[in-house]
Amino acid sequence: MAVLFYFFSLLAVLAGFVVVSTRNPITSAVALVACFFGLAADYVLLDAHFVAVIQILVYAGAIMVLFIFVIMLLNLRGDGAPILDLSRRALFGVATAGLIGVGLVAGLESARRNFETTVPKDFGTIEHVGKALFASSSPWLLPFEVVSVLLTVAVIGAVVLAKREI
Amino acid sequence: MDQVGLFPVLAVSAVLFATGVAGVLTRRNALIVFMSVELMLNAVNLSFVGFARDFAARGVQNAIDGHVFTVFVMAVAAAEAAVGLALVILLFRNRVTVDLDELDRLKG
Amino acid sequence: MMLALIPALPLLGALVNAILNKRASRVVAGGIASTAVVLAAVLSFLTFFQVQGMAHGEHGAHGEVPHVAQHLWTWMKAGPFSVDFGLRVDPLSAVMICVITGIGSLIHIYSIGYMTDEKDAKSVWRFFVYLNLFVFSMLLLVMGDSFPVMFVGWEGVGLCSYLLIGFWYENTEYAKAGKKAFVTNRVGDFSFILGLFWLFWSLGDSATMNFVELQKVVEANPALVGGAGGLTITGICLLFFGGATGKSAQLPLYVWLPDAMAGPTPVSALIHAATMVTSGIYMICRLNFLFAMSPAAMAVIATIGALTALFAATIAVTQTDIKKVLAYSTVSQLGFMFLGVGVGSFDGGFFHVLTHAFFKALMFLGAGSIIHALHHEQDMRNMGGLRKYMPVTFGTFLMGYLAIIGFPGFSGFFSKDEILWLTFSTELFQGLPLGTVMPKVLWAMATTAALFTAFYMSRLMFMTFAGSYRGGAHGHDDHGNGAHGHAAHGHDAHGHGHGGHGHGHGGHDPHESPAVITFPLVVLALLSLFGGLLNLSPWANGGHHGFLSTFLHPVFQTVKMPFSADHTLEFPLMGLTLLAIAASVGLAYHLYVQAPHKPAAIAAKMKRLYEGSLHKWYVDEIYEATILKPLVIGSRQVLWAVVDTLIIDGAVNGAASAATGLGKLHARVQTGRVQSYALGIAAGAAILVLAYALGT
Repeated sequence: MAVLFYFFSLLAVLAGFVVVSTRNPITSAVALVACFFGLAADYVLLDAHFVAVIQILVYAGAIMVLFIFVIMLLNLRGDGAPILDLSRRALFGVATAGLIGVGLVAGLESARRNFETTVPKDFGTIEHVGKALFASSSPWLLPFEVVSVLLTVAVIGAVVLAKREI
Repeated sequence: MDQVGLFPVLAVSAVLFATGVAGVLTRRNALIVFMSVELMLNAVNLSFVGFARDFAARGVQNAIDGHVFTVFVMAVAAAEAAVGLALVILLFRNRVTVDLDELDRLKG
Repeated sequence: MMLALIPALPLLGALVNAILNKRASRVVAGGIASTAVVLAAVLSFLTFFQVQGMAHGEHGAHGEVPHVAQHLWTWMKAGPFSVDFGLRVDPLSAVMICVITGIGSLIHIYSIGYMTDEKDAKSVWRFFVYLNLFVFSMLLLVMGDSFPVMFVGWEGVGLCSYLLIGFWYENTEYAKAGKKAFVTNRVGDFSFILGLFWLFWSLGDSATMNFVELQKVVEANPALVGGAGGLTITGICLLFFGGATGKSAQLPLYVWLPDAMAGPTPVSALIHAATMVTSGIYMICRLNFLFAMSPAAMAVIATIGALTALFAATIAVTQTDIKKVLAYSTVSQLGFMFLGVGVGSFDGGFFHVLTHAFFKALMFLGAGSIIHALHHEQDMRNMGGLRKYMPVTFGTFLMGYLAIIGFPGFSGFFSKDEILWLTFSTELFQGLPLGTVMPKVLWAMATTAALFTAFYMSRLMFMTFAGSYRGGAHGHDDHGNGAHGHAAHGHDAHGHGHGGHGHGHGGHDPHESPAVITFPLVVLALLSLFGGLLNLSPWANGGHHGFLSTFLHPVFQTVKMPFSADHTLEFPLMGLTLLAIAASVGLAYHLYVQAPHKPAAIAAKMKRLYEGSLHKWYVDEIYEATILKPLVIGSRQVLWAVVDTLIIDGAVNGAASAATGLGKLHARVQTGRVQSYALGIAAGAAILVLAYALGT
């Protein structure tokens, strides 16, 4: 299944590249969705079933929809930026990013090994994740609840920020 | 089926991350910068999942924590997106632009 | 007894008058000030007798200097070195405090009667504040037991002198005179401080500011100051003497004293006759153990003293302002005092200080009485015949006159003749080049000065008191012959203000001054007459030293000054001098009483000499051209234009510009754009990642 993995990863990377380089924000958003789909497939191949589903549901289904709504709302056109931006800012940015990328990859030499074949049964299922979250001995219970509070706050914050004056 | 090693997973993650950084630093449109940030977060998620699988295969206890963390990252990303987009809307309402180069009032 | 009360009382008086200020009238302010000084005088005399009593008791015990001391507080302390603010009255200071407070009291009382000008009414309190302050400073100067305390007093009297000379400050000329006094004094003070630093530095670890300890240290270990007769001690002593030339108006720093006559006459009497100008002599007497180690320095002192005596005397013969004559006479007599200490007679020079205080203060006060009675007329050409109108003033002035010319029996005779004889017979300079002939030359100069003194003082007496009264009938503006410039400017402002006042009454004759003025005159006249008894010369005292010399002996006992034991020439010289003095008096009588037209004729024949003398030998002009002008130009063109404007301002402004520029440079980081900040973060992250990657 390595081939499948490489295929979907390539899809994700190319989509990512489109995200950062295209002028039109809609194109960018759609490309990002495609990237998410590729990643979701990767998750499945890595036995992260629950995460894959969540990725589609939340990221592609909710967040990107929100993004597209906002783009439409603001009625943004294209950037107007040249295709090949050779300004100082672009060069520095790409160079720095490149350095980060190269550095990361170079530092990962020690990770060159194969996965073991056996994975525990039911690894990555929703049951497994649920047990990890909600078991009485789990350290993740409190963060879980806090995150829900966080989401509430975010919602309220978004509403307060964006509402019209009355 | 032959599984892919840890290294390719992390390499892909690194490339995606670097791409996201390039987008954040380069683009002028605020929304596209936002989307690049999401790209970075996803790269991180991929790396979490990869490690989780590796640990689980080697028998480390609580290897599932990688997935748990991914869930949290997504939740936070959602919250961040909501608030951030609200700010963009507010910004657009005041300045009729989302061009980051024009937002230099703190210049000094 | 509380020594501190002696200086504290005048200080308190000054404070009270300062607080009362305008509310205090002349009498009230003067009364407060005089009371303070009189009380201080009483205490001073009590202290004097106390010290005298100790002298008798301890005279048997060798080395002990009878004294009364009081330690007030520790002033400075740095490790083993400490300076205390303390007072110490030994025989030398005891005499000084009696003189200062005694004559001071008389002058304070006199001032109450003198400062009656209406325009002074609102500001006379200031006068008494300054006078009291002066007495306080002078007392500190002579009672201090260490250099710093003495220096506080030293500076204080300089300050008060400036304040008092420029008392009528609205007149620019007077204010300038005050400034001149202060600045010239300052030059002297600078020299003094340098000497003090040098001394301090030489002493190294055993450095001390206290006089008693200093004497012990230096006498125990002369090598610290380079050994007797060495360059170090000579330099130190000469620097100290430089300070004395400023304070005591010797060449080259005497120029302020004649101009100081701009101040009210009581000031001239107190400060510039009896006290402040004697502080130089006091200082030398106090540091006798240092000066005794350097015959070369002593020679310089004696020479300058004699030169000054002669130089000033040559100027006094032509001056027409009565106060100027007395001023130059003071400079000349101070020269005598320095000559006395310079040849090794500390008690001889000091005795002349005492007698001079009596007769010069008397004469200044007498002149003040005249000036007051004639409504601020100071030009002797407008006086004359005053002995008829002001008999008491005349009588007392006569006493002072006889004393200063050295009439036998008067105080001045004993003090001046002692100095002349000791100059002739000193053997102090034997080891120096020209050492054997120097005493004779100095004697000749001093005697010549004495002859001049007799001449110009007689001239003053005849022009002022003899003949008939020349003033009042015609206005004060008529100055007669052409030479009026410098001599008359001292009283210009006074005279003109009263243009309509004096001669509106036609023949308004002067009358004697009130008792408050004449009483001090009488007291001082008695002192001038009988003051000689205080220190009769051995030939008049059955071979014993006079009272003063004996009293002061413990202070000077460690220095042995060599004088020739051969007294054969003493009486012949004295007789010769007296004859010459009589001839001078006779000449003055002839020129100014019998043939009053002759002086002008002689002046016309010796025009160059006359003009030179009248214009003070142009010393002020020379100073102006060679020192003052270059300083002013240098300050303006160099120090201000270049150093201040260019360099210092440039540096300060440059620093500010640099800071601003640097700031502006760094402000360029603050672009206000999020992405540039993000770039910074990303760059840092890249570095970290690379560092990790390269490290593994």
